[in-house]
Amino acid sequence: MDGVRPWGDERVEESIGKLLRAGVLVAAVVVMSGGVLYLARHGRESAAYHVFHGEPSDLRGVSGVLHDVWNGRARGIIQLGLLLASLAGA
Amino acid sequence: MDVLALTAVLLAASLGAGFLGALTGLGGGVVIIPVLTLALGVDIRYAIGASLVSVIATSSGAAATYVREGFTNLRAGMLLEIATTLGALAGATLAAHVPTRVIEVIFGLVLLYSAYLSHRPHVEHGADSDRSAGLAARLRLDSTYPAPEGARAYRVHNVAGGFGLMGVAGILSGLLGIGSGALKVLAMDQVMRLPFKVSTTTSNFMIGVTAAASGGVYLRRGYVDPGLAMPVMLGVLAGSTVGARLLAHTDVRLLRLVFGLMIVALALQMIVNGLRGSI
Repeated sequence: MDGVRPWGDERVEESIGKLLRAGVLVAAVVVMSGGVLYLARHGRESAAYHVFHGEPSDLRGVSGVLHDVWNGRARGIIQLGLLLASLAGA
Repeated sequence: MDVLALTAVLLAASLGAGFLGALTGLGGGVVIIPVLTLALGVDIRYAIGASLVSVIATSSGAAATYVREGFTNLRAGMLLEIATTLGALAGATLAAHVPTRVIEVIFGLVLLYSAYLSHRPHVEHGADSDRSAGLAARLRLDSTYPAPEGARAYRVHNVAGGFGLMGVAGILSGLLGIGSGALKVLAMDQVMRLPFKVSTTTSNFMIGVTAAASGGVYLRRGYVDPGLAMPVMLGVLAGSTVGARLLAHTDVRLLRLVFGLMIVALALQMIVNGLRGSI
């Protein structure tokens, strides 16, 4: 263990801080790129959230979201970013 | 209103929500939910989904800063998070089978009482005789936090009581789709008697994990809409990053006052919502 710093509380704090920051940054970039795409495609449509329909099934689970991302769908990309953010937070 | 305008309004509101959320250890749902439901006419279920996203983003934006600066009590946070996560999973599963409206009203009343309690600050430092401190010592929960004159030591009290209350906070989080930062801060501040800034920052670290636990359940139910979540996440993230930088220089009395006002606002929302039966 020569030259290796022991894992004291301070080093744990430092590493967790860095990990959190990196994860959040990646998630934010993904959400932002999905968001730009979404606004470019749908920005002029009218927003309809008065009545609850629930999200379509592809946006409710990991495999559906990945499928949407693969097909370049903006809402899927945003959802992927949100999943990444909750991973980074947890 | 078109999607662009809605996005702009939400982005602005979320900046404020993230800023306040980072400073008080609350998730920002207290700002996001009324803006969505009252001002923009969005269905409460979409609002709950967006609110959970705002909680995760508040935590993400601020937690890294607080952990690095040494405010967050990681050991206490991780221990208590066990109780909260289990509670959140139980609560989210139970939500379909219990009268959430009644629970909302009760929770609102509890919060009003807590707001009153939190205005009688306890002594944060100094020697005291506490027989239940053994558990805190064995788990090495006692720690220090940065103060203007340097690191200041504090002790952790009533670990068992705090753990129990965190379980309740988790259940409420899952049941009502809230981050339950309010109960977390109150449990650490009033029951475990941590310094206020340690309570809010440790809550900040924890609420993201709790919200992620109940968020998964709500995602599967179709409550999380990307069009609403996108401006909320980005706005809250920016707001909470700024708020987190200011905490070290903010007076504790001012923080307590802002926290108290937000708790009262949250309580009134809960009671009104519950009575109207809008969920």
